[in-house]
Amino acid sequence: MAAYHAAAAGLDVLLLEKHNQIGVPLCCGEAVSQSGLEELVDVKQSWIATSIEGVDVFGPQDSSLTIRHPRAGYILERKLFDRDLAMMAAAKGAQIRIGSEAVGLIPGDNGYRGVIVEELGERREYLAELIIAADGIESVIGRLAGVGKPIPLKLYNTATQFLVCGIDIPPDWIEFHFDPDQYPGGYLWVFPKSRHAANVGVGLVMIDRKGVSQADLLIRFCQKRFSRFTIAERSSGGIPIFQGKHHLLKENIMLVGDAARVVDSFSGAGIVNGMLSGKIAGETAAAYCYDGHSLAQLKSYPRQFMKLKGRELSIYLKAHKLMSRLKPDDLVSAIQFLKGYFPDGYTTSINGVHLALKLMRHNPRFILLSKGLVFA
Amino acid sequence: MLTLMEVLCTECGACVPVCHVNALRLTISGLKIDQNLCDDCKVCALICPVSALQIEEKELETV
Repeated sequence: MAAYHAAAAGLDVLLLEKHNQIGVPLCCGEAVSQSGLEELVDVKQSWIATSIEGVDVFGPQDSSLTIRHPRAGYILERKLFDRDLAMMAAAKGAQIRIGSEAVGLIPGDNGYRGVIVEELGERREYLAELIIAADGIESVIGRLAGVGKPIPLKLYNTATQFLVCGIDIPPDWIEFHFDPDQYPGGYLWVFPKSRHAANVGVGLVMIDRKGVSQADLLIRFCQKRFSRFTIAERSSGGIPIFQGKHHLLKENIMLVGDAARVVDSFSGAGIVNGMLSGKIAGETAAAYCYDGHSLAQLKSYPRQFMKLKGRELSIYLKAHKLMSRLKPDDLVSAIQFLKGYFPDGYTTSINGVHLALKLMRHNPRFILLSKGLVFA
Repeated sequence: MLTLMEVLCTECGACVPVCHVNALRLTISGLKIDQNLCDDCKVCALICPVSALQIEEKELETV
């Protein structure tokens, strides 16, 4: 998105991709809000595996909730989607180098004047006025530039996902399974890719786990949930938490997506926020290059992003912190609350911030557990 | 000593941001461990979602 918007504004853009294919390997549940995606890009049918119309939420002690939500979201074909975004950037003039791995930064008078890459077995230097780092949770550029701080282990979810095939499920319905005993600090998801396949994954705080591996948790779940199944893909990943505006900019380096930690810490959703951060960074780059070349101008990027998303992401982070403290009875209480929040089991839109704040305030124990978490 | 079971590693990079000495690097040819930097703190092994990182206890030499 950053490359697309910077190239669309007429900048000379070089897009460096570490892997030999864009969008591979995949570390993503592929679920995205329909409205969120449509605000940022003209959606192509080929990107969409399924359209989601509702959700089942399952909690401890056989508690559950069903919410019908027309036009809620999509489950994407991320490999096609990511490649198409790169091709859209190329159509606007961006140059792409695949198999080009950033390994160093070249210091300059005005921040950094380029990157050192290893490309086709050779070490090369690319010079640039600006660097936009979209290099994921492990962001090499971010680490080299000394951006940010480590993710607290007590809040760090890591995840394993299977592409499960040979099953029979509603293709328009997602499932969330919460159980602090099995999935501490996180949850298990079922996102249909078709009537006969789904991304089934689990994300949890690993330092709170008790023995069983994530893969075993998923296999046990699939054995109970599906009469028959087979696993066609396995992937895993770390789910960053939002760490504030200081992760977005360092001198003339703008970080976007997971590299900038701009995720919904509660759900782990990062596609829309990643795209939005890329869009703003690309537009900011154009303003910088055409008008002034002042590093102060780049502060517009974190400022704009935080204005749009700062409060929301901060509240989701607090909800994630609260989630990590919940016991099974608390989850049952939360599901009971949600039944009252959606009395008809139907909604046309969900204000996640409003819902999170209402939920956290509905039970005196939640207020107690929220001690130390300041809510705006 | 930290060791990587390459057959299990999915190259997801989840371990990289928790390493406090920057001993882990996810390259195009897989996860690389800088044993000179690694202090065997075990944090990466603890959070690896597929248990691909393990600490092998060093054998004590008899003097």
